[in-house]
Amino acid sequence: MKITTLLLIASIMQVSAISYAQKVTYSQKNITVEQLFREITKQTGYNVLYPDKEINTDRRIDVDFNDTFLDKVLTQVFKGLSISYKIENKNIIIKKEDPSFLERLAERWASIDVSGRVVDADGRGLPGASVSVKGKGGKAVSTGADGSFYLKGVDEDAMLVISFIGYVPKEVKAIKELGHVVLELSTSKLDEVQVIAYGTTTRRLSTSNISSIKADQIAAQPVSNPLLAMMGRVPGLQITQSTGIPGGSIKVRIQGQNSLQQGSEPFYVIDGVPYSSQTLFTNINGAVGGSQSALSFINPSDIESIDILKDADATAIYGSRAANGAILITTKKGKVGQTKIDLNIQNGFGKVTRKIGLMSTQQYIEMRLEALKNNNNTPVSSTDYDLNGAWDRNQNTDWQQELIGGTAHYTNIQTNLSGGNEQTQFLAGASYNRESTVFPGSYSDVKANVHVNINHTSSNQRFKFNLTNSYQQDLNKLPTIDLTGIALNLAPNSPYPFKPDGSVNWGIVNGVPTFTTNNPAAVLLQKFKGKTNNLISSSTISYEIFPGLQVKSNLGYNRLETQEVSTTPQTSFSPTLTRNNRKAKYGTNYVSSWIIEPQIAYNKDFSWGHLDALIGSTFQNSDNAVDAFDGSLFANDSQLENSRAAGTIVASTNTMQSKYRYSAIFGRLNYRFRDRYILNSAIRRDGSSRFGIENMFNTFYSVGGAWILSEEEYLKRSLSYINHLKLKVTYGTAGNDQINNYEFLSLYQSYTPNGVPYQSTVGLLPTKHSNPYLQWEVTKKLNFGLDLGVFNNRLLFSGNYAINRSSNQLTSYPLPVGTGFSGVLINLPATVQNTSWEFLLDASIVNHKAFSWQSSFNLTIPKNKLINYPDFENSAYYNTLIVGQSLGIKKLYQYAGVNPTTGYYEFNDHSGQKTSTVDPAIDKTQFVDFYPKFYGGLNNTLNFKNFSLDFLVQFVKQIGENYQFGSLLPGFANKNQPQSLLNRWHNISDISNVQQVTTSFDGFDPFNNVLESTAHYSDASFIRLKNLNLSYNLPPKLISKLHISKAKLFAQGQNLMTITNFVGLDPENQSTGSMPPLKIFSFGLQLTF
Amino acid sequence: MKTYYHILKRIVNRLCLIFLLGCVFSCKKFIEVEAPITSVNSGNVYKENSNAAAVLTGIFAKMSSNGFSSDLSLYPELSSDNLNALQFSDSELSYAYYKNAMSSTFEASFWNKNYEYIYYANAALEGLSQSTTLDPDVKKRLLGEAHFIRGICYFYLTNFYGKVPLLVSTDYKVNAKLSNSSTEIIYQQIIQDLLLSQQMLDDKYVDATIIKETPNRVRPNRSAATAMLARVYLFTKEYSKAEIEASKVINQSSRYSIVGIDNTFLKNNQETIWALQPVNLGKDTQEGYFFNYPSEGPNSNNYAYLSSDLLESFDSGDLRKIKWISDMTIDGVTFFYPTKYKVRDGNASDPKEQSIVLRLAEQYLIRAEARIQQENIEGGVSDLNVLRTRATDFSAPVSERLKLLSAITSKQEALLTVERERRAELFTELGDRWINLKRTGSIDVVMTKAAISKGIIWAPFKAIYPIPNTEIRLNINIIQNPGYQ
Repeated sequence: MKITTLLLIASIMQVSAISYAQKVTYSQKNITVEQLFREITKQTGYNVLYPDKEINTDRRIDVDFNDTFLDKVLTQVFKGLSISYKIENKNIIIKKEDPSFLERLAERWASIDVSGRVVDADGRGLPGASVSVKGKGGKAVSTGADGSFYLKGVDEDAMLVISFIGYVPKEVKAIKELGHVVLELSTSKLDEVQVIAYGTTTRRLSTSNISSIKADQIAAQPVSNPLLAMMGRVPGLQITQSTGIPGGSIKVRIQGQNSLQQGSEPFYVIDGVPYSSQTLFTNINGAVGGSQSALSFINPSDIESIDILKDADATAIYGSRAANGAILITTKKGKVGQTKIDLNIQNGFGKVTRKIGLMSTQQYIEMRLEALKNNNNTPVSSTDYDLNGAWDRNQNTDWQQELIGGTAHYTNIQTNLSGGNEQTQFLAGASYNRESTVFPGSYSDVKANVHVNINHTSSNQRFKFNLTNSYQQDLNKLPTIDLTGIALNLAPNSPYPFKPDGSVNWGIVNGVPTFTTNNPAAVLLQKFKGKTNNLISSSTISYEIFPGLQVKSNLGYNRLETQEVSTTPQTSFSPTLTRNNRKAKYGTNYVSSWIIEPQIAYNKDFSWGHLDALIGSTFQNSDNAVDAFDGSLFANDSQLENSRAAGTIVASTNTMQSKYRYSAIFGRLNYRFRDRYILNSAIRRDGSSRFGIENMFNTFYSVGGAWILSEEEYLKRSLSYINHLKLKVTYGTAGNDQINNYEFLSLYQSYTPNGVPYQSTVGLLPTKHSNPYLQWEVTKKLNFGLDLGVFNNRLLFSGNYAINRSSNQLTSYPLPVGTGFSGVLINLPATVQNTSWEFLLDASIVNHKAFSWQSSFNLTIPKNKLINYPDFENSAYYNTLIVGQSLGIKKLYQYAGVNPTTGYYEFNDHSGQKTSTVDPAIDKTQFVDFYPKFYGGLNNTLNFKNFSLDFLVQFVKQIGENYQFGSLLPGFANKNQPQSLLNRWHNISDISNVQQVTTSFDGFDPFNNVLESTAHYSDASFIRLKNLNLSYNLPPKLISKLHISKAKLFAQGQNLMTITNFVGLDPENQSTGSMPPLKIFSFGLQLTF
Repeated sequence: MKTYYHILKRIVNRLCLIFLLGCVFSCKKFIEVEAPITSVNSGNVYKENSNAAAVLTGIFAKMSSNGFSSDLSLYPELSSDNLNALQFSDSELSYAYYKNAMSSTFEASFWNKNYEYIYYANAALEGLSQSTTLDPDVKKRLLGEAHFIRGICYFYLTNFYGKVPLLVSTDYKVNAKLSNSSTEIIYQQIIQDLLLSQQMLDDKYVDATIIKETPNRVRPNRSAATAMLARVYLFTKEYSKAEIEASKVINQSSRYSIVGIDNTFLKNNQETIWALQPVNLGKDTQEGYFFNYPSEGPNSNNYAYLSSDLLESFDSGDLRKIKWISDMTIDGVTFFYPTKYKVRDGNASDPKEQSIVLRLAEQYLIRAEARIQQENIEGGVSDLNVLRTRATDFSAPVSERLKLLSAITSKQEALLTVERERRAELFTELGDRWINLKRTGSIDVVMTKAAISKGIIWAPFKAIYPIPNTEIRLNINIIQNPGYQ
């Protein structure tokens, strides 16, 4: 045993100064033993030497010595403590006796055993809370399943520190029966719970790069898709809404595009159940096109929190599925307390955010006549209805106003019933949501939803059960086509498409219909109806075998099912069409999956640190099926939805069934020493049916470490205004498996050439090369992070720098046709790198009871780069990408204006020569990067008495496709064009940036080329007031008489204002064919009974 | 209550253990999924007779749909001195064949398509030979069909492209790096395939069940393999073997005979050895659709007309010229076009004609030449006269009838006669003229003469088509044919 000695400095200074008597006179109450030692030294000159680990000198005693001999003093002080002493050469050497069994037993009686129970404000036990004796090397235990603990051998009067993630730590004096120790929830953002894979953590203790969105932020936004609620709020997360039509697809990228050819969607998990992000494709398109966002079948008001997992430390445990990050959605759970009813009613309306300045009829006709003149003075023809008098040359209709200028209505009603006691809590909710469109006519998307959650804990708190069921039904009755494109192109003097009785106006002149192409009324007659049911059921069962060791299992089931029909009635065709052209498409599809994840979790406080360990396994099965068929030759329009009325029914080639199976073993180890040094490591071994027999299994791992510097004593002392300072670094791998099922298999498919089977038998032929080696794309992720909290954590900063390298890219590799097929899907060692700087600043600027102001700012600077692509010259990407550049680039001609003589666009070719005839293979010398340079958001929350104001400003810096050159070949046909065409080239020697209008085919090449040139791409950055929420809480006095505990009136807005230089409709979706995101205003009332 | 938890604890404990252990041992089994019901896993295809047979049926269907025989009857004939093409913008490729101006940048339909069939055949051979569950007779017959397909495809590949890579497996890793094989090695492979095929097939014509006999001659039987073998021996100058194989077919008089000139291309006639069933809705054979002009005359689909050289090569009174050729005059220009197949628009569900790939007449021509080469000139001439007899109009006055060949003494002259008879009998059928000009070595003489009327200059390298550039770019081991580098 090594003995450290403590030399009392005071004694050295007084050596031999006095003649020492070996008697002590000292009378004092509640002094420490150390104080007594000092006194002894002072009075006797003897040094007191002792091993400081063995002798508790902090012990407080009462002494009363009057000229007492030293040995008697010492005997009395150490009485009953099995401590011996000896006096040698003016040194008093104190040493612990090796205690005998009996003595040890006696010792036990001297100290006390503390028992108690740690609970939250609702009285529920907090399992896993840490109870430790204050001071160096103090004992520590974790609380059991019901929050109770038992700490043996604590010195009486010692202080206990009780702490638990997410709660304010508490110090209590040790007494035998502590009873309930109530921990208050921490209000600091640092202690907010973050949901991670198979567990939870906090911003304070996490080693990962995770961002969270909470229910109140979601509730502030009138959106029907939870993904939209995250826009502009999360660093490293880019969300783009591709259309303003309800249910439309939404592009989500966490830290950029990782995969060259396959999906880069994040991995979605709802209450532990993996959820597919896009619905199946049935070849039936509603207005939103082939793919709907499956997340639109999740009710945003059921969500408690959304956690975005970005780095390897957080995602490696999801293995092959989370290379593109993971989005964890946690739904609301019942809470202990009185039964309460929440009611939320909201009503609003929406409009398109922007319009394009188009030509008036006068300007339009001028352009059309000029186009004819420019083409060798072509006369106006009998089919130029816009010019030859068939259409009113004085009518001037703003088609954007007529077709997309309407008002969409938004209604949302949500009720929740919740409550429960300590053992059982429940929550039941129902909601109704209806959204319509800005198109003329009544088109809507209606959702009804039921959400039920039950939690049960056994009385001894060891058995726990949790069940959540969400069921949503969606009825989508939207048109089959988006009218936005038509609105931009219709000639301003086109006849009005609807007759007063609502039927189609075909513009019949002299018996000939003149308004047959793109007639909006005809298009709107083609109907779509989609019915979607979504059931998500999840459950967790757990049992604590002994304190700290828990066995549990997640169970989940999801079935997403859609029935669709789209109809094309005869009335949607020109009356001159005599052929029976009635058509209907029918389709059903479903994704049905279950998952079982048994786990064993162990967590315990040891004197050498806190340990959290988890091992588990996953079994997942998913079945998909699409059944689609087309009907034609119906006798009349009214029976189109009835497939039995079809003259012929043909199965669609999209009909398919597939199965996906997945299993894994995973483990995680989290070690925390003195809440200062944290080490986190995860590993997962994955097997997936998507991959080849030779490579079905793969292992993913991560290692992460964090150092909370602010807990170091020296920093605490020297920089006291720093409350929290953490450095972290994580590294690991995750995979991407977003390919179709069976890609590795050599599959044979039915082959019937052009309808006549050979020997009356359907043949079977191989469809592709099989690749039994097919495996995951792997992303290696390195993340550096710094968290800082200053001024009582009122200012919190979080910065991350991530480097993600995705390799093993699943790409189609070109093969000589002689091998049977022209390519095979392989893992190519091409590498895509995404780096991103992510910053988040949370400030609590004013924090008074009457007035508070909270602000949050986030910024992301991403960079994407194709680092390596073997045999690039022979790849399919040779003409579109450049090694060393972003995947978001587009190769372009260098625009050189309009040739003053010919009036056609010119470009600088590869040798720098101006020309109107370019070669796409060599003259595309320029490139632009579509991916944003940076993006972010600024959120402010102000509370003044009963008022609360919350607003979010989103910003994106990027380049996009503009609309300054118009569409088709301007002037060629009866299509309206943007106002920018007014500055066109008219005569020889005109200097202009817009070429002549013409009906000559010669105009097409330069026009098409200008759309592939640098001038067609320009700044599409924008700053947008994304969300505004103003609410007023009615004074309690006013409402208490009505038995209402809380009443809130609110007004919300989405996409309210946009600042941009973008030339086109909307800088976000940058499309001229699909509806821009809508500007939505809504008003509502929230009541709690 | 306590016991309840005790029991629960034990259950949970055990379940957990089972899951964890289970995962370790059964993960692999769990994640191995069967192919979807909407398609069939290659491993399962060859487990059942009907599925295995459907693969071979699928190959024939694909060959028919892709125009296996009509492509052969068109493009190489354009390259030869038999057929001319009118220039239409969308028939650029045909025009290049006609002008002997093939380039390595052109789409190489023979290359792509034949290698596609070879892949299917290789896949079938691999799958079938590994299968243990098929009916042995069915398995044997299907193997025979697959060998036959591979043999005939390589025969045309090497005749058009010379030295080509020899792919005999489906392993793309190996195949994507293979270099050209010599024509000798390719012929060895062809002969081996055809011998195996001959062994494995039987004399019956069967339907898609591979068991039931049918009058439909749209699946190859033993005679198809034998007939191909006879042709291949002729090409490898193994004349005695060629004669033996040809005789095997000719001697089956109950099954095969030379039919009347009007019936030669009708469905299931006695002269057919193997044909492809039309599969395209609204058509009979693609040959009929392509060669027969519509009433408006030539257009971008029907642009081929017979060369005057061919027309002049017929002896007078030859019914083959009278019955198998028609003419149409447009704007004062008369175009002659082949009408062996008479149905232009038809009905594939109930066709009158089928695309004949192998017919008995060729076997007589093969045997005639083989006999002459073995100095049996008399025997050769008598074989040729079988065909001339069919081409004779016995209702016409004797002076206007086609004359039978009289005794020829010179071998040289006899061989030239065979060449003329071949041309008269097999013009616009499966590229026969082009590949036989190359075989006999007369191509340079013939084409130099033909070049004048084509308005081009002939060069010997043009006898072999170029290998497509894209293939060489993706497989650097393939060597381009001389003249096209």
